[in-house]
Amino acid sequence: MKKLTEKSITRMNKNFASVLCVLLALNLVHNLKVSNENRTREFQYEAWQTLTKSVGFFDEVKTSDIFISSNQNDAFETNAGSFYANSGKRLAYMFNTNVIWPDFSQCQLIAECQLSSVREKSISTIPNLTRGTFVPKLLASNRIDDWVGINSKENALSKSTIWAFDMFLMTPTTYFSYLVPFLSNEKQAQVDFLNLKAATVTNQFVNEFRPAIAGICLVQFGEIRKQSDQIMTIWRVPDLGFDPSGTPIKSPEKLDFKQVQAGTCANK
Amino acid sequence: MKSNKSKLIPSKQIDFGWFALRSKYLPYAYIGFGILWLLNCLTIMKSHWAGDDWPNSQTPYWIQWRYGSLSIWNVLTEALFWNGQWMNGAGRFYPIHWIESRFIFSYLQEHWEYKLYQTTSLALAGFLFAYVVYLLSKSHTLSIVTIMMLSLTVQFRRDFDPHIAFAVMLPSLLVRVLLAIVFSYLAAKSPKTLSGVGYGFAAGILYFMAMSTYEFGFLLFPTLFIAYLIGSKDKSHLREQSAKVMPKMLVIISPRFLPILVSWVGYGIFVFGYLRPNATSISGSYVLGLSSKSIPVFISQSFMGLPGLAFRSKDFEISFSILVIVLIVFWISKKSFDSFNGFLVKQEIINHKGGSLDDNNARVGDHGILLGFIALNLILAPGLMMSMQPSWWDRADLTHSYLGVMITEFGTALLLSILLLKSPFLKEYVLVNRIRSKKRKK
Repeated sequence: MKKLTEKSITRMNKNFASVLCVLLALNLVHNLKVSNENRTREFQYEAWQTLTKSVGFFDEVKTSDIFISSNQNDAFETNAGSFYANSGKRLAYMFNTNVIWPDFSQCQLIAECQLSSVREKSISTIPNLTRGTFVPKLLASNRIDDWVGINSKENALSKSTIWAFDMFLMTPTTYFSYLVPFLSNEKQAQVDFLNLKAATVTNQFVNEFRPAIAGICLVQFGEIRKQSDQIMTIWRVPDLGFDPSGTPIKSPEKLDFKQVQAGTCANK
Repeated sequence: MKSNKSKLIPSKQIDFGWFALRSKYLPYAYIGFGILWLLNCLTIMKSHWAGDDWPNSQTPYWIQWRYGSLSIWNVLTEALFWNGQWMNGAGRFYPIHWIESRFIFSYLQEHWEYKLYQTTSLALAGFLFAYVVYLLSKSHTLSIVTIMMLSLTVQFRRDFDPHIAFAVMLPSLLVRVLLAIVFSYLAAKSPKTLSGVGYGFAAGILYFMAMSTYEFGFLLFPTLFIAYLIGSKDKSHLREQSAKVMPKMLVIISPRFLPILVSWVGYGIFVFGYLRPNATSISGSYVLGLSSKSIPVFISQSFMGLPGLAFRSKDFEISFSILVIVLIVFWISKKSFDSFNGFLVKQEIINHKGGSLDDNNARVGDHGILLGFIALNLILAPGLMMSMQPSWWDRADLTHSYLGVMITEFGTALLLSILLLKSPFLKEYVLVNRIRSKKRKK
């Protein structure tokens, strides 16, 4: 083996320490990068907080009402628990649409397909909720002291309103949500369209567009500036409005739930 | 390293004692590499909820919704409910994790609070690891290099990442195992039988808690055994071989070690002898098996801690802030290496002059081989576990790992440190510096 000289060893050491310094810096940069990458849902999360903590939007919602939502997801913040903590409204539950109508997606594509029995199906599904069920064994076995148990009692939800509610990211900078009560028609799920309320939360300085539902442009009802970097705007359905192309249109009083689909209109 | 030669070894400091050494270079090296480790851990603060932390972060809200309020009793019953579900369903037993995670998410609801807890836990695990390395090796050199290496081997992952997600499960497991190692060592080393047994009990309880945090802990039993062996050796060394020394394999039945053994065997019998045979729905990742497909899984996972393995080209897009970070880290690293070199050179000079030193010519320490086995145990255990899970066959490779990768990262840091300090190159380098300092003295 070639004998190392004092000079070569010093050089090697310098190089070796420099390589380690570079690697240490690169590793920190890598860790920082990976940490940053999982912020993709951050705006959705923050917008949900803004929406559910806002005063006014959920005024008409009562304790033990039921929400039905296509984007409800217990794996994220869009659930009844988080809704209660933020808004103070204790829903009987926030169901995913697919739980109430397992063939919802297919039904949307077929004109004759009817979504039926929204109230009956919602109420009968409540006792099947298992999340966090725990009744201590030492206590009486018939003791029901949790919210699911209370709402599972007969007629407990007879006065509850069933709401169609949804929330999703419409564009990378605009979060959209709507809330509308179902009408008491067990044969076909219809919503009280003229009482529909919508909200947008944007992290831009101004709204980039107006939302539309079922091809009708919504009109601005109020604006709540939550924080300096978020604007929440409330929208309603006009009696007489316009479609996205600018053609005047009269809003229907009732709307088939399948037709409650969001779109956009240009700002005035 | 010119600054070393000119600043760190002034001739008037050649004749110094252990205190002088400790008071100057050693803290600087520890502080420098400690800061680097902390900076690495602090990158967690940039992350958002990730993986299972998304649904688990909703725990307090579900409890409020379900029971009307958030109370300690409600949080505890929620945790025990889920623990029961997993015990009966999948035959798993990890109640400590359920309790710990439910309380963390319930009482650290703000995102930054939870992230700070994650950061602190990982940092603590790293510092504790460096302490354990020192305790077992009596080598500050090895301890310093290990904490430096951790900043290289701990790499955040893009699939299942135990650093920024999964409810601090892995740092928590490591902290308990490391504390159990400390007590296992003390159990053997303690001069009094009663205190030795007491330490043994503490180690046994901590180890049982570690296994009840995550089952990976079960495979880390050899680390406790080796720590006990090292403690026994150190004790016999203190007694200068005068006392009776128990044969190595018999230490396992010593009353000092018995609590640890009982914990391990007890957990094994309970989980593998009772829970799993009676589980009602073992599926997915919890089915165990062995086949030829296990081999590539095992091999690939053994290398997951190597520095740079998780890097991707897109990680290093240049920006002003990144450049600033790189420069700061580079500067701290450079200063830390300077202090570390000063420490090494002084150490050699003391030895050369016949001085006594705890780090006595022992860059790796007195138990290099045994520490190597500890490192290997940490490196290989996660891969062994995954190789026995059919759900990972054809899936785990050098780019896909699971939560245990953090254990591999810690083991790899220790092994690389031992190999680096054993390398002849470093020895040559220190000798050269010694010669230079002598010349300067003349």
